[in-house]
Amino acid sequence: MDHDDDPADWDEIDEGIAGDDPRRTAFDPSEPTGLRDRDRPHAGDGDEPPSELRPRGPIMTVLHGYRIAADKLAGVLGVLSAVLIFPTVVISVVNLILRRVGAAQGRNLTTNALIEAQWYLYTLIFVFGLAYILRDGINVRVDFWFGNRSSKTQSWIDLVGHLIGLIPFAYIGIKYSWPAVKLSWDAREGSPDAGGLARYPIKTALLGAFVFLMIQGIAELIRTIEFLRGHEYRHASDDPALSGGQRYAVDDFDVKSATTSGAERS
Amino acid sequence: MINSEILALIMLGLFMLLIMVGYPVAFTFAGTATVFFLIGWAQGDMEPAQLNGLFNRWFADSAANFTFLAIPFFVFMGAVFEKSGLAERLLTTIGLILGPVRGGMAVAVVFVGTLLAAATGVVAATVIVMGVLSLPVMVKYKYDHELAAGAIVASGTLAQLMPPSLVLIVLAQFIPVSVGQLFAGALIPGIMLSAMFAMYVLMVAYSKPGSAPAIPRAERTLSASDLAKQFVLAVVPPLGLILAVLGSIFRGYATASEAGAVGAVGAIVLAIVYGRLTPNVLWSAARATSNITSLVLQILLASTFFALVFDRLGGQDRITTWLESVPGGLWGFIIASHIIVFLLGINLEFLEISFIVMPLFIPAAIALDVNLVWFAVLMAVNLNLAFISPPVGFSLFYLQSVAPPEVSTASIHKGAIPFMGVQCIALAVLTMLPESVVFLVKASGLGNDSTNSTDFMPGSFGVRLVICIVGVALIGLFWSYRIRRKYGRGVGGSDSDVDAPEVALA
Repeated sequence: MDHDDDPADWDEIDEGIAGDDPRRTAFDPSEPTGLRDRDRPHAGDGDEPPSELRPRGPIMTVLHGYRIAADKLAGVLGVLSAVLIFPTVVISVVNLILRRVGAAQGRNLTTNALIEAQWYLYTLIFVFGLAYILRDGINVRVDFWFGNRSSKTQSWIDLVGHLIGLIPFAYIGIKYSWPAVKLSWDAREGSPDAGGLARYPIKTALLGAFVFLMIQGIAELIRTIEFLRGHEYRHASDDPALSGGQRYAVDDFDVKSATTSGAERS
Repeated sequence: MINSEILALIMLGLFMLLIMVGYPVAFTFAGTATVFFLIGWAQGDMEPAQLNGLFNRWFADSAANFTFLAIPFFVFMGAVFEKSGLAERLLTTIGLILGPVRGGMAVAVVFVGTLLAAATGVVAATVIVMGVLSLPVMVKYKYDHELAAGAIVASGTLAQLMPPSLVLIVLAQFIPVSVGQLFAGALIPGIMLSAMFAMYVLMVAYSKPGSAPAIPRAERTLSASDLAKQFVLAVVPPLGLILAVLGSIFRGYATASEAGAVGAVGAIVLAIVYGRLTPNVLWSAARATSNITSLVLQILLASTFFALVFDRLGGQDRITTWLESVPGGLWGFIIASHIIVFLLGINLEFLEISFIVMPLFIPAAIALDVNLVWFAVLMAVNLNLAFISPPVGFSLFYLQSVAPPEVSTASIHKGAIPFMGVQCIALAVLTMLPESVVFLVKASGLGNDSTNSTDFMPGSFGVRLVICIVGVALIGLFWSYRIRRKYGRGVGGSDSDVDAPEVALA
C-alpha cells in the first residue's frame, strides 16, 4: 500500500485525531499540537507535505515493501498486546476469588495452571508489545539535547543506534535464546509445579519477542533510511495509513511524547 | 589491553554519556554492552559462552515474574481513572470545596495530586491532568504562577512514591523485599510529603499577600449541602477503591498483582457507575497499558544484558567493594547513595536509575545490613526530587507541555525549587525517623526481622521525633519570616510591591 502519492491534508489529520473523542483534547495535551514539524517527511522541511518525492531504486522498492509488511505485522501485534490485558485482568481476579473462597472452605480451588496463566499472558503482552512500541517510536529517551536537534540529525543518531544497539541486541537475543528454547522443546519441558502449564511454549514466545524485535528493527532501519532520503514519515505513528487516523502512541501516559513536546517548547 | 575491571567502569561511564545523546535508553544499554563485550572478547577477558545464562535470566526476571505482573494492572487502573474523566471530577470537586480558603486551590491540587498519584502511579499522567485542569484556573484567580506550578509538579510527582506506584514495583525487582512491604513502607512517607507540601502552600499563602487569593464570595454559587453531595459522589468512591486495594495488600488478603487486578476491575466498575465508560476509554486504556508494560520490559531486557556483561567484566564486584569501603560505614553509604542518585536524577529518569544503580547499591546495602525497605523508600523520595529538579526534571517538562502561554518556563522552574527544599527537609526527617517507614510494614505483618529493624538508629524514637518537629517548625518559621520580609506589607509595603511578581510574570 503506497500512500506517498496521496499528499495528506495535515490539518484534517490533526482534526481527525483531536475530534475522535471530545475528551481527548482535554486530557491529551500533546494532541492539539498534532504532528510535529520535525516528524514530517522532510522533503518539504516545513509545514507542507512532501511535494517532491525522489523515485525509489529497485533495492529501495524491495526494502520498502518489506518495511510496509513489517509495520503491518507490528500493528497487529500491538492490537494483540492490548487485547491481552483483559483476559489477564479477568484471570487474576478469578484466581483471587478461587483462592480466597477455597481458603474459607479449606479446599484448594485454584490450580497451578491458572496461577501460571497470569504471567503467561503478561509475558505475551510485552512479547507482542515490544515490536509495536518500536514501530510507533514509543521510547524512553533522554531528550533535552536530542529534542532540539533537526529531524535529520535525529535520524542519523537513530540510524547509528539501530546498527550498533537495536539490531545486535535482537541478534544476541535470538542467538542466546535459541539453544535454551531448543532444549526446552527436546525435553517437552513442563512446569516444576504439579498441574502447571508446559514451559516450552512460553519460552518459545520469549524467543519470539526477539524475532519480532529483529523483524521490526530492520524495518526501523529501513524507515530511517527512507526518511533520510526524503520519502517517508519519521515514525509510523505519524503515518495516517498505518494508524488509521488514531494515534494511540501519542498518549498522555506515554513518557516520550510528553517530554518531547516539553523539550520543544523550552 | 585494559584491565577488565577498568573496562567495566569505562563501559558504565560511556553509557552515562551516550544516554545523553538521546537514542532510546534500552538500546543504548544494549549497544554499549555489545561493544564492550566484543572488546572484552578480543582481549580474552570474556567468552561468548559466558553469556549463556542470558536466556534464563531474561526468563526469570522478565517473564516468570509475579512482581512485574502488577505493572499492567496498576497502569490500567490509572489509565481508566484518567481517560474516563474520574480524575477530572475529583480535582474539580476538591477545588470547589477548598477554593474559599486562601491558598485553597493549591492545597486542593496537593490533595488531589496525592490521590491521583496513588490512583495512577504514573507521574506523567498525574502532572498533565492537573496541569490541564487546575493551572488555568489558578492563573485566572491570580495565583502566583510559581506557587501554582510548583504545587502541581511537586504533588504530581508523588505518583512515584504513593503506593501503588510503578517505581516501587520496579524497585522491588532489584531489592530483595516484596512489593507489599514497599507499599506499606511508602504510604506514611507519601502522606507526610503531601502534608508538608500543603503546609508550605498555606505558609506562602498567608505570608505573601496576593500570592494565593481565596475565590471571591460572589463566585461561590454552590451551597454547603451541594458541596457535601459532590464530595460524596466524586471523592469517596475513588478514595475507597484505592484504600481497598492497598488495604487488601497490607492485610495479606491479596498479593500486589491480584489487588491490582481487582483495582483495574474496580476502576472499570466506577467508570460504568458514573456513565463514563465508552469502548474508546477502555481501548485507549488498554493501549496505554500495553505500551507502558512493553516500555518497562524493553529496558529490563536490555539492562539485564548490560548488567551481565558488566558483571562478567568484574565491574559489579569493584563497585560493591567501593561502596562498602565508603568511610562512615552504613551512614557513609546512605549519604553516598543519596548523592549519587540525586546527581543522576538531574538527567535520568527513574527507570534508568533503578536499572543502572540499584543492582550496584544492593549488594553493598545487604553487606552493611541496611534496612532495605527503608532504604528503598528513601531512594524513591530522592527520585522524586530528581523529577522536579530544573532544568531537566521530567515533571517540569510534562507541565511545560500543557501550561497556558502566560505561565513562563522560568516560573515553572523557579516554582519547583522551594518544593525541592520541602522534599529535602522531608528526606532528612525520613532518614532520622525510620519508624515512619517501618511502622506500617510491622503493623501489616508483612515485615520480617530485618525489615522491621530500626536498631541502626541511635537515640530513642521520642527524642528524634521531637528534634524533627522542632527542626521543621524552626525552618518553617524562618522561611515564612524571609517571605514576609521580602513581600510583606509591613516592611517594604506598598500595593505595587505586592503585585510586582504577577506583573513581572504576565
